[in-house]
Amino acid sequence: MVGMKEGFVKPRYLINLKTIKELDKIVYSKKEGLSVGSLTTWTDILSSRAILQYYPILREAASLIGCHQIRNRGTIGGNICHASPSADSAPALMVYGAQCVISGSRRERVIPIEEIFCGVQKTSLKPEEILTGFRIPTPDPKSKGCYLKFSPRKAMDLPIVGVAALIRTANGTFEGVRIALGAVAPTPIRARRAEKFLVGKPINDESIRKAAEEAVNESKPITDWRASREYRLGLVRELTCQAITQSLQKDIP
Amino acid sequence: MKEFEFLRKDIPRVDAVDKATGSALFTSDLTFPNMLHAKLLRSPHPHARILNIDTRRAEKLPGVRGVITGKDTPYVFGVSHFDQTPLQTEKVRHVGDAVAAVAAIDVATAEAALRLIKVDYEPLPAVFDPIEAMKPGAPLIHQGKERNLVAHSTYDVGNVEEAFRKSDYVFEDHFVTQRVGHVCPEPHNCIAVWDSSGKLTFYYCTQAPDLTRMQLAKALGIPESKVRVITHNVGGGFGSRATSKFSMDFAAIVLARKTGKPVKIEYTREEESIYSTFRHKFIMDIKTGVAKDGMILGRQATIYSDTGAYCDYGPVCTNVAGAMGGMLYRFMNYKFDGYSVYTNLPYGGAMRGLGNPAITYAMETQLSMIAERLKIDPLEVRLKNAVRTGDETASGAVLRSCGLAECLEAVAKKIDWHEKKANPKPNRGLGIACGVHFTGVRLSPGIDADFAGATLIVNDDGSVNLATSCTEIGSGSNTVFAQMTAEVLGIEPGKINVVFGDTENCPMGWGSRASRNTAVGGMAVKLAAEDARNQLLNIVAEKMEIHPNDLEIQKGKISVKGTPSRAMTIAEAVRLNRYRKNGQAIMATAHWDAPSELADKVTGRGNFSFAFSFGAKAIEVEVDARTGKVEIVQVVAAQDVGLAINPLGIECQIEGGVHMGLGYALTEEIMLDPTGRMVNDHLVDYKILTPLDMPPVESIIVEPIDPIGPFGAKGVGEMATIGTTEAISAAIHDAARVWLKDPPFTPEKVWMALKKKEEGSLSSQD
Amino acid sequence: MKRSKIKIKVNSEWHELTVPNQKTLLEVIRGDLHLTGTKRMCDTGECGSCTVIMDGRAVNSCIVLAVEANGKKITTIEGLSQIGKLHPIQEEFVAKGAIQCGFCTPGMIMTAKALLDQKPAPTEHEVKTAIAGNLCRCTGYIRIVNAILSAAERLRSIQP
Repeated sequence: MVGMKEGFVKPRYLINLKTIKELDKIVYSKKEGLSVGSLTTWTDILSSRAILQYYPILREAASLIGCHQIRNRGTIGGNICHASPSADSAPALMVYGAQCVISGSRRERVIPIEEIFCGVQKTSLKPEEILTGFRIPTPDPKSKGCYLKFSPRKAMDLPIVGVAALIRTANGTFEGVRIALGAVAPTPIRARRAEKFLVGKPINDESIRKAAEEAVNESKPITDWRASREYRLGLVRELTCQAITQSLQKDIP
Repeated sequence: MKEFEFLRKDIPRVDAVDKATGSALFTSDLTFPNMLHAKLLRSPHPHARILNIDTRRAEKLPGVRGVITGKDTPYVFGVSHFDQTPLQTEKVRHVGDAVAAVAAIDVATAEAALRLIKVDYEPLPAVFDPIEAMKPGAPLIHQGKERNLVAHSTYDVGNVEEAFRKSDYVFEDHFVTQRVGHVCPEPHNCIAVWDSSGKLTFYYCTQAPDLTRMQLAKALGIPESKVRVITHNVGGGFGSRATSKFSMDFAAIVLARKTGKPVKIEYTREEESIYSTFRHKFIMDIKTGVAKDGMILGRQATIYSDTGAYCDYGPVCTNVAGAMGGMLYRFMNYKFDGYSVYTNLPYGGAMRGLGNPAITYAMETQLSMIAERLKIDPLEVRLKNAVRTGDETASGAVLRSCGLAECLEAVAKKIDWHEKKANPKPNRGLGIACGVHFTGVRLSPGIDADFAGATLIVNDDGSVNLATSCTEIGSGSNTVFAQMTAEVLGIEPGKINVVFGDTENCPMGWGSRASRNTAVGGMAVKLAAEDARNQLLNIVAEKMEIHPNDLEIQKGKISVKGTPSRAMTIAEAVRLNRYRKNGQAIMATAHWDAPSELADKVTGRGNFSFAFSFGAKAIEVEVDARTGKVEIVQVVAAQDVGLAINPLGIECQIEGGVHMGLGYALTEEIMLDPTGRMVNDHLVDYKILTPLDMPPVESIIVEPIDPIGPFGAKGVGEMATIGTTEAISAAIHDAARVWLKDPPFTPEKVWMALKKKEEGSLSSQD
Repeated sequence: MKRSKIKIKVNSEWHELTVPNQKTLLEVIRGDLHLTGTKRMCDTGECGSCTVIMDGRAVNSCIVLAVEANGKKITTIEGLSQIGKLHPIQEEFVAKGAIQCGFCTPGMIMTAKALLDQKPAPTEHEVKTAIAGNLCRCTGYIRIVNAILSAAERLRSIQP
C-alpha cells in the first residue's frame, strides 16, 4: 500500500486475495506440524495456542513486528513476499525449517523458505504463482530458541540486526544448532558455518564466542544512514552470543 | 501562599471534550464548495539558475484550473531579513525550493500536472557546510551577503581574557548538535478565499494569526482591514507555525485570486518533515575559565548555525543562544560570537527554545565535564554558581524571581542523588543539568514590542466571552485564561467562553510563541477581567449607594463585605447597567506590553524578558556496553513557573517537553543526503519515542512568585524540554565513562565511543 | 480511474458509495462521509492517527483501500459517544490530562477502545504495547496510559 502511495509501485491491476478464506487458516497436528495460510495476520498468529506452545520463536518475532494496527492487517505471507532483508519473521521461520507452499497456474510446489528470497525485495515467485502458505515441521521437543531484534525503538522499527536461534543440547554439548540472521545481507540468511562449527562443541563461552565469530564472517551488511557495517557486524557478534545463551537458559517447552 | 478559588487547580482543559469526541475542528478538516487543491513544484537541485519554466502542458491537463510561477508571486518575505520569495524566479537555493504551483480539482490531478511542468535548470556549485560556506571562493547564495554570513550576534561583557588569566583552569570543548524536526501532528495547511470586494480570508494552521495578517497585508500591498486570518485548533506548533513564512501560503493566495475559487494546500508528511523548518544544526566551541573550587570566572562561546538557504528565524535563534548563554550562572565576563550562515540546504527556523537547547546542551555538558575534571560534585558546582533572585546576569537580564537552586535541590532529592552517587550500580549513571528560558522576549533587533491583548464581554446571563490574541496550540492556554478570568470575576470557568484565532474578532498580539501565553497573554486577560470587575462593582456600588471597596465578588454574586444578603448577581448587574437610559455594556479591553527592553547594540546586553523560568533535570540511565543502547531508568524534572495556575497542565507540558528532549538526546536526527534531500522523512524513519520507549517522569513544580507576572505566573512550555539532553550526556558518562559531544547518542555512537576508549585512543581528560 | 460500488457500515449507519479503486478508507471517511474526527498525520500507516475499528480490530485506515472495507463494520471516533454522553474512555482522557493539541487523540481513543473490547483488564505494559503505534508529540504518553487504565477500571466496575 505504502509503495503504491509513494509511486514506487504502479500496478495496472490489483488483485485482492484477502477474500480467499482458505488462505488464513492455522492448522496443527503433531504428525504434520504446522500449516499456516499466507493470509494469516500477525494478530491471529499471536492468538494461536499451537504457535504459542510449539513455535515460540515465531510468536516472539510476530510480537515485535510494527505495532498493533499493523499486526491486525499485516500477514505472514505479505511479510515474506515483500522480502525485506530485515523481515522479522524470516529468521524465525528459517530456524524452524519452514517450507513455502506455492501455487501456480499449472502446479503446486514446496520449497525451503531460504529459496524464496533471491535479493532485496525480490522473491523467486513466478508471475503466475502465489504463496499460499507455510508448512513448519514440529520442532524437536528438546530444542529451545529465541528471536532477538535490535532496533532504535521498541515499536514500529525494522531491526538493525535480527538473530534467531534454535538449539538442542545433549550431555554438555551442542547437538543441533540453527541460527538465522536478518538485516545483514541482501536476504535473510542461515548462518550455516556458525551452525556447523557449534555442533559437537562443548557448551561454554568460548564455543559460543567462536560461533558468533563465524556468524560475523558470514554476514555482509551495508553501511547506510541507519547504521555502519562495522556496528552491524558488532551487533551480529553480540546478538548471536546472546541468542545462543538465552536459548540455553530457556525451559524445555 | 495565598488561597485561590480557581488558580493552582487541576482544572481539565476547556477544549478537551471537543478533542475527545473528534468534533474539534482543525484547518485540515475544512472544505469549501468548489474548493481546489494545490501542490508546489520543488527543485531537484540544491543550487541552480532557472533558465526557463514551461507550464503549457500542465495548464492543458483536464481538471487543472490554474498554474503559477515566480512571476505571479512578486512578494518578498522573511523573518529577520526579507530574503525569500514564494516561488523562485532566478535561482533555486536548496533541494525542494518551490518554483511553481498548480491548483486542480483534486490532489492527484495537481500532482499529475506538476509532472508536466518543464523546468530548465543550470546547476551551480553548491555548499553544504557553514564553515565551508564562509571560506573565500565558496558559492555565494544570496547577493549582498558576503561569505554567506546572514548575521553575526555578539555579546561582550566584562573582560573574558582577564578572567581566563585569573582562572586556575581554562577548558575548551567542541560540540555539534543535530537538526531535529518539530513533527507537528497536523501537517502545514491553509485555505485562501477571496471575496468579490478584494478581501482575503486566509484559513491558516498557525500560532500567530494576527502577525500573519499583518505580514500578508504588507507583502500583498493591501490594507490590513482587507485580510482576515482564521485559525481553528492547531495540531501542534512548537515554533514551526510562528509566522506566515512559507511558499505554501502565497501560492494558495495567488491561485485563489487567479481562479476565483477557494484553494487549499496541505503538506504531505514528507514535506512537513523538511519544509516546515526545523531546529538548526549548531557547531559550538565553548571556553570556560574556572577557579579550582569550581567557580566560573568567565566564558566564551563561538557558534556557527547552519541556517540553510534562507534565514527565517536563524539569526534570532543564534541571538537567543547568545542571550541564554549568559543567564544561568553568576559569572560576569562573557563573550559570544554567533554566526548564522547560509548553505544550500533546506532552511531551519524556530523550534521550542530556539537556540537555547543547543547552547545549554553544550555549556551544561562542559560544566559536567569540568566537575569531573576537578573532582567536584556536578550538583555542587551548579549550586555554587547558580543565579538567584535579584541578580543581574551577564546577558543583562534582571531576575525578579528565580527558583534555580530550589529546582536543582528538588530533583537531586527526588532521584536520591547523594545516595546513588555514593553507591553506584554497574552500568548505571546519574546526570544532572539545569536551564532557563524567557517568558515572552524582545530579541528581534529593531522590534521594540512584546505584547498580547484580550477583550471581554459579560453577557446578560453572567457568562463571559473572552477573546485573546494568543492561540491554543495544545499548551492549555485557553484553560489558563478561563481560570484567571474566573478568579477575578468570581465566575465558574465553565461559564467562560474563550475565543481565539479570528483576527476580526480577537485583539492584536503575537500569538503563541516564546512561552508567553500564560504570563503575557494572561496579563492582558487579567487586566481586562479586572476592568470588567471594576465596572461591575461601580454599578452595584452606585445602586446600593456605597463605596465599591465595600463590595466583593464571588460565586457569580456581588455582595457587601460582611453582609452577604445584600447582593446582586453579576447577571443582574449587567442587565441593570444596559437596560436603562445611557446604558452601557460590561466590556473591557486590555493590551499589555511586557516590561522588557531591547539589547544594547554594542554589548548585546539587555533585560530582554520580564521573567525567566528556571528548571533542572536529573536523569538515571543504564548503558548496555555490549550494544551501546542507553535505557532511561528515570527522569525527574523540576520547573520554576512562578505561580502554578494549572499544575496538571504544567506537569503535562513538562512530560511532553521531556519526550521531545529525549528524542533530541537519543533517537532524532534529520538525515540529509549529499544534495540536501531528507532521507528519513517518514515517521518510521524519523524516530520520535513511542509509548514503549517513554520512561517514568516525575515533575516537581517550584513556585517563586514573580512580582510582575499575572498572579505571579511565568512561562512553561520551552523550559520543559531544556536540560534533558545534557543530563543524559552526563549520565552516560557516569555509567560508561565516555563523553559524547554530538547528540543523538545512538547505540552506535555509544558503542563506537566505548570501543575507541577500549582501544585507548581517547585521551584521559575525556 | 476505475470505480467500484461499496457498502460499508460506519457508526451503525450503512452507506452505499461508488469510489475510485485507489481511494483509501480514510479518504472515504473524511471526504465522502465528512467525518473529520479521524485524522491524517502521515498517510502511510506509521503514526496511528487514522485508527478506526474495522470488524472489531484497530486498523490504520490510510492503508486500507475503501474497496477492501466493502461489507465491513467500521467505528470512528464519532461513533463512540452518544449525543451528550461521553464514553468512559473519552471521559478519562479529559479528566486525566491526556489531551493537548488533540490531533492524535481520536486515533489513540479508538485504539484504546479496541484494546479494552478485547482485554478488559490490561496491564500497563499491555496498554503501552497496544498504543505503541499511536504517535504523540505533545504529551509524552504518560497521562494517556493512565487514562486508559482508569477507563478499564471504570468499565470493569459497570460490567454486569
